[in-house]
Amino acid sequence: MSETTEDAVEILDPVVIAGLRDLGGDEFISDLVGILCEDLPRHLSDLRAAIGDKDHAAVMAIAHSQKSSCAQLGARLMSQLFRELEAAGRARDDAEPILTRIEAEWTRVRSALESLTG
Amino acid sequence: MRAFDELQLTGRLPSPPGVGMAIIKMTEGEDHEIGDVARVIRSDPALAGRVLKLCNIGSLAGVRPITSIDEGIQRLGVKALRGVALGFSLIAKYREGACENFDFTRFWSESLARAIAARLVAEQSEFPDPADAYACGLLSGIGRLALACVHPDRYARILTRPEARSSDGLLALEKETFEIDSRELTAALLRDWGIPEHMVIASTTRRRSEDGLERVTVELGRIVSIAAAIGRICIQGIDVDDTELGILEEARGEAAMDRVEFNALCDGVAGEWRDWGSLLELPTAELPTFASFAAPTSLSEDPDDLGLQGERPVRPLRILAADDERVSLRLLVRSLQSFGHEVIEAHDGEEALSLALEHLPDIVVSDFRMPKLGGLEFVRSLRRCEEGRQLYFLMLTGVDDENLVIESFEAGIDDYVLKPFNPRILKARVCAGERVVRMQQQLVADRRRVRLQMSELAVLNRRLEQASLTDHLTGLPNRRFALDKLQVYWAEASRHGDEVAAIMIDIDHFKSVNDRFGHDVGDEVLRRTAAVLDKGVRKDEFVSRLGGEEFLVICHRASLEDAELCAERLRRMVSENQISFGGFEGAITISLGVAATKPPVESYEALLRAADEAVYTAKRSGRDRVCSTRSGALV
Repeated sequence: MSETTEDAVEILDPVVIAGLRDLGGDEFISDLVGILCEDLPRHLSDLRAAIGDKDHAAVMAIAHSQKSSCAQLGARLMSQLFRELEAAGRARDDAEPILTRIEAEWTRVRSALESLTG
Repeated sequence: MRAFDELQLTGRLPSPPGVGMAIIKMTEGEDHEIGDVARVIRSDPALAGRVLKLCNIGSLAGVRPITSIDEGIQRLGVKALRGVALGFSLIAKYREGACENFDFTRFWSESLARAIAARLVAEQSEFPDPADAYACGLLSGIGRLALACVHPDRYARILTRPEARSSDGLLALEKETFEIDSRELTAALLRDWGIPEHMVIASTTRRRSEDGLERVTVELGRIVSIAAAIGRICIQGIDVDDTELGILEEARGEAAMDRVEFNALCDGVAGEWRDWGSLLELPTAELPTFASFAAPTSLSEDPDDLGLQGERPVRPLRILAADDERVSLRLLVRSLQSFGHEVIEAHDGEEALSLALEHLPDIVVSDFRMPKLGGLEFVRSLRRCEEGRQLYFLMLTGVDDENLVIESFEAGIDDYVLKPFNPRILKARVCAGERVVRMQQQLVADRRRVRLQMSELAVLNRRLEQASLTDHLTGLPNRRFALDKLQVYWAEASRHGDEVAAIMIDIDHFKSVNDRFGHDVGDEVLRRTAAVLDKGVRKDEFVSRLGGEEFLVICHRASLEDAELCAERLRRMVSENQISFGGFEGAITISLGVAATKPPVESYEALLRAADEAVYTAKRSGRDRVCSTRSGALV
């Protein structure tokens, strides 16, 4: 399912970004981006370890919370991929391929976020 | 009282050390020699010093300082001494213990503040035995100490529960865990130590139904509960919260004192508390004046200015935001701040619960999934305790958690917002919550205003009562008050086996003063004579005007001989008092009849009749003299 092509979806939802800018300007956005860039790599490596251990519950829990964090920052595809990851965890499926896609998407999101704030 | 027997079997219930136990044993019966009791007290120099100090303060102090323990025992009364010695010796023995969350020295420090407050309130309301009140205050919390000694671990766990913050919650937890709560345990221990029953009831019964209780018990109970409120404020110091201040305000109503009087009394308690604290080596704190406590911003004198909404700027809401996800939390906090609210952050459920109970925010916005304590358990824990019941709870929940929304409402949430949230939706939901919160605040303010008016009413009532108990011409207490007082003294004397004496006084030839100089002059003569009598009586002698030219002095704990001395003193003072008014020049004389009896040999009516007969005898034998009678036989 969900053969979303990466190019078809904008990396960051401009409406969400505009909302964040309204709330606290560029400074606030760079604050949020800073937190995400600090936390997400750690979550990704935790996920990889959990998948290796077949710890489906941990996969679900991490994917669930990151799904909503990414959505709050307008990273729609990232959020969608985390949703799929959560579903895979629930179904006790092999989640490794999805995680690989997430890792790839993260590099795109990261550079898009960083270019937002210069 | 099976639960108490079981506790006793553990052998860990607090028991006074040697000296305290010896005093209890010795004073159990009626036939104790004061000299023996004094010898035991003297064997513990620290205890002896503390007992002496207690004898020499406030209204307990007499004309000259007491320096010997024998005199001290007489002044305090053996029953009060028993309680005081017990308390002091327990303090020395139970300064620390195994119960981790029970602060032993703080416990004693609060007990001490309560004891001092009880004594001062007793003195202020002219309760005949301030030392009894002191003992009750000192020991009325002893059941908590006992639970901490018998079940240190289990009690320590109970004390960490949020419900334990309110005294009702703690009592319920104790009952649930130990089948006996600390109040019942206090009563059982005090009875076991032979503390008189009226002191036990007064120390441990709340919301007394006054039916069937002796007046002295009701009065003492009222004093102890007022003292408890003052003691709480002393121990909490500047950290005191609105609930405690509300209780203090209610206590002021109970005491029927106006704010200035009451604050002065409380400041007096705080001052003595520090003195005694250093004497007993207990921690106390420097407190600001009670006037500054009792007038928090929302409780000003003007009833129209009680934190109500209006033109005054509205205080921002305090909101607790809880989410384990840092990005979400940051966004949540920023959004709430942009709506103009004050925000406290929590990073997991446990932290959220403890911050919520500490800061009592108006609104909680919490994520559903959190480590340590999930949102559902968080809201349930809050709703279980008094303070947490009032918070407005907004749950953040993912779209696919919608099934859990119902369960969340059942757990006690007020509303929910879907995640990822749109700040504008969040704002609308918080606004809806704010309306509810503001309405609640208004309700609290209204209730506070009512309470304030109630306590003002109580003061007014007391003034009215005073007025109805005062003789308007002379300002002395009237017949009604005198008879009330006599009943209190009578009951008191019955318990202690003391005597009560009455002196009936009649002005000589008063009718001719009225006839020759007019009623204006007669009234002035009454007024001036009343003033002399009022000046002439001492502590434990109570003067009143019965009506006409008739006065009554009741002597508490006085033998016939004591009362005769008093009567002679009054006779002399009146006859030496020169009156010059409206043509009247010179002094008047009075005839006095003294009677004494040991209740309950006769009734107090019989005592008054006997005094009356003695006045008649004094009149017949030439006036300006004292005659006395004992048990009907003229002396």
